[in-house]
Amino acid sequence: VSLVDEAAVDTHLAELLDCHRRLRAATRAWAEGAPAGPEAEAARRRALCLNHLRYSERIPVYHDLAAGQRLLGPVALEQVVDELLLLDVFKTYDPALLLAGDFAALTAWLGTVFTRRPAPDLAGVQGLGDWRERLRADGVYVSFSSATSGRMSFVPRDRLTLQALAANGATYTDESWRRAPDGTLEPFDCLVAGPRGGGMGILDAGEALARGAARSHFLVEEVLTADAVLAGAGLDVDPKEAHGRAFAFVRQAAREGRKLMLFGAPFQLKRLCEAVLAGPGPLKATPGSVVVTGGGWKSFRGERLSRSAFTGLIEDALGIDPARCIDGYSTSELTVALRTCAHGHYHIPPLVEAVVLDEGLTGRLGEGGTGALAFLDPFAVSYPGFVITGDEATLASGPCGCGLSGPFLEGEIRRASGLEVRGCGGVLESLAV
Amino acid sequence: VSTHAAALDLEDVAVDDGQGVVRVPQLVKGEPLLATRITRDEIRRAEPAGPDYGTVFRVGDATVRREPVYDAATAAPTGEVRYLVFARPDPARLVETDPAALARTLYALPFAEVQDFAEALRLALARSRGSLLAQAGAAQVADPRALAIALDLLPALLDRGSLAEAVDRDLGMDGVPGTRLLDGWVAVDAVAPPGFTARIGQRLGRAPGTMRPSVRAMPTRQLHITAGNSPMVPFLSFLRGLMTKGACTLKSAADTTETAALLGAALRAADPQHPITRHTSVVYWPGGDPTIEGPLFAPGAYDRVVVWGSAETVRSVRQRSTARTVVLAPRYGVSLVGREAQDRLPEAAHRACIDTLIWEQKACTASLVHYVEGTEREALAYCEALQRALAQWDALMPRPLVRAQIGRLRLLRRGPLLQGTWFENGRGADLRSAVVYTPVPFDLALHPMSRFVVVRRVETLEAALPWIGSAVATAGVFPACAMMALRDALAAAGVGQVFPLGDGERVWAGKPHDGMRILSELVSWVSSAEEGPEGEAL
Repeated sequence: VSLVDEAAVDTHLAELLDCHRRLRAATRAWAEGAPAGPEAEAARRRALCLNHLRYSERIPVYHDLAAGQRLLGPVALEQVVDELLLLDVFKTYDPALLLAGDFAALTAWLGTVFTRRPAPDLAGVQGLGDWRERLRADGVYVSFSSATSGRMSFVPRDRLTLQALAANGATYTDESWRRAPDGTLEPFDCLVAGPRGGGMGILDAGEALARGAARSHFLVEEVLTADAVLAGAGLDVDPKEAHGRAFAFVRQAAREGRKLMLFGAPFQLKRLCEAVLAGPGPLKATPGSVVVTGGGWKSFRGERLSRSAFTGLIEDALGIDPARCIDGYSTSELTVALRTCAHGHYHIPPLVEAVVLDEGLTGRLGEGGTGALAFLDPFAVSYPGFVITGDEATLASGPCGCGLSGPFLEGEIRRASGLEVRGCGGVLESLAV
Repeated sequence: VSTHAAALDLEDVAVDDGQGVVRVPQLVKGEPLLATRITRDEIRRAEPAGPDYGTVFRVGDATVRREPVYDAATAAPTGEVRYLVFARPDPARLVETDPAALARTLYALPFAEVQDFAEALRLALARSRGSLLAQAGAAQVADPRALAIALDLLPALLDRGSLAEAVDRDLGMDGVPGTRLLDGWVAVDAVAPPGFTARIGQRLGRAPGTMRPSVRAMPTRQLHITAGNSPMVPFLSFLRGLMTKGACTLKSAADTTETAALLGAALRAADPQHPITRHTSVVYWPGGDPTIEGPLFAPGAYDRVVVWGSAETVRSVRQRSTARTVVLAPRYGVSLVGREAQDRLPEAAHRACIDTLIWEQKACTASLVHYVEGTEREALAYCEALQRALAQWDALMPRPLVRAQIGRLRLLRRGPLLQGTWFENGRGADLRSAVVYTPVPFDLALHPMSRFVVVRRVETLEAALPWIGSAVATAGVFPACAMMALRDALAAAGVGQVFPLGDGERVWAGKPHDGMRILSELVSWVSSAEEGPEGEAL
């Protein structure tokens, strides 16, 4: 298998898209309580094998890795799990290029982790925002994340992968919290406890949720751009004023009897709730309102609360039932987000395959256990969707009291030791050499 | 001191209770400390889940460490697990509370007696080698490789002449050998005029007399917190305590408890009643235990704290200890390979391997990163030569990688070093060593230190200098003539030692370590003066 010209006909694409269609159908049924049958598993695994072939033909770093492992061409999915899962592939650029603003070189790097070699007009590009816009004009949709290590990742999506990111959630989203007795969906208000996003994973999730709301409000109206993240610049916000406007938004929704969806990272919601209690005192959101968290505590680990203390704080501040506090889990490379059910399980929709890896970095498909968490995402059409997350988790499977079945993550999801910053047992400091 | 020190028995180093349970003896001020016997069933009931390697937990008053058993012939894990059991040392017994008594006994020993004791220690170890290794190999309760390393190298380190030479060189001043300064007050050939206040006081009618200044290198109470990157670290740290006549508490790391037990047993075999033995403790506890470390880090408990190890350990100790701290921080080695190597690649690679494999790449001086001057093609050619040289070492000294190390290398290949060009010896579970050429910088914290070399290309050797700082312990340069041009710049950047490539392991008595004359840091430099003729005019 050789790398093909990006313009060459993608002979596997039609079959891949058919697998996608079947997976989405199976996922809709799964979300209604039906078990995901062997057909869904077969479609998913076929799609993943097709993607292996496509990546081998079209993504240079994947091609080289597979060639080095003598795994070009058709392989068993088990071989992909053991030999071809990738970690932080979207951070493998030379950080000096970013600091120097060498967007031509960064674009060339992007072409090594992507099915295309982007060729945007880079004339006059001043920063990451400009670069992102020029790539977009070339059909490359880049999202970024700051990551806990401080090195930004850049995930390039083509239109198909972007559409999957936008549409996959709708196949399994639980809307029962706002379903009226007649079956229709009630409008809701959305409060995002952070800034607007300019292509950054979790902030964009907030944007997407806000778009579905009747009314939305961002604690910080300003957009947190990639350039601001790179410069380490914070947003100029008066917290008192921002909180005051957010409290007014909650009160208005309550006055009008409209349910509220509150979204943010745990540390953002913790600070908001503390401000409620320290300021006006408890606010009562409309009964049936929900809280959705995502992104974990990350570098705010010093503020971390236990799950029960955290949901207790939300209940005290906003009157939202702990059972309606949902935590989401995803990574910037995935086209799905997992969410907790009332039993605290992060259910994995049939759209993707999850696997845990042992210390030798091997794993078994379909088996549970505790280890390094990885996903194989068949909807990552334009980049390697075989992802080691850098997190450690416990994978289990079976029917859940919430009505869903199949695999789920249980317990705490935490950074896997030694995968980021702390190598060799912490013997040496993080140092570029 | 007896020159007929008894040979050690394996029971002195590791007490085999059967079923893979081994109690490890410790030493507290010359007295042996051994945990009460516990059974494997008792251990299994208290055992937490986790990986086989390095899990530490409590069973009653004992500390238990679970670790894999390695095959003596192949050095590969057998799949079996053994449990090392340690008694918990009482911190109150470790601390020396009577400095005056120390001044009369340990501190008052002439250095010649320290040498005599070292000789007895040397004999005890030398005489024990054969039987200890034979017993260890047969019983499988102690790692024969770790014991062999210690037993082979230690006697040479205890050479009485070398010890004196090291002290004389490190502590010496004004042409006076260090041993004299350690043994007593030494007059200083200097004028010590009276101070400003005394001159004013002269107006009250009494002229200050002349003084003959003197100085002494006073021994100290020392707490040594050692690292586990090499089985020799506890010995090297103890040796510095011994050479400075320090009253030492030596904490071994979890990975070096066997060789630490060997040291404790050898001290008793040399002379259990000797002041050095009576004022030395060799113990283990899991780092960070506040019930033990609280009293040890309390103000006044020790005069010096020597801390080896990770940045995290160093930070933790510095935050808690008020004693003067000698930090032997985590450092690493680099190799600088000039363009001339292209004509002599096998030689350069052979030399680079020697610097790379010091203590299985775990030593602070071991080379982890090689900067190669030349084109990318030349850098890749060097990588190939290095891969071949490493393969020779893999055959000469087989050291199978444990599964976690293989996992780490696989992770690097599929993440941070994905853009690199890899040269591996062995595949999959049989991976033995690897070289990677990377066009982008690498985060050193991810280096697995397991026969693994990161190669970076530079246009000139000088171009490597921005990547080199005070975290670099050793720089090996090829060819040797290139070293002369780089030496000052490397030293100015904070590099601890600069050698021709392949010579980074060389030591000599009194050699500085990490930019310090360490023995000088371990003594208290005390000044005094004796009165000259009374009333003599200034």
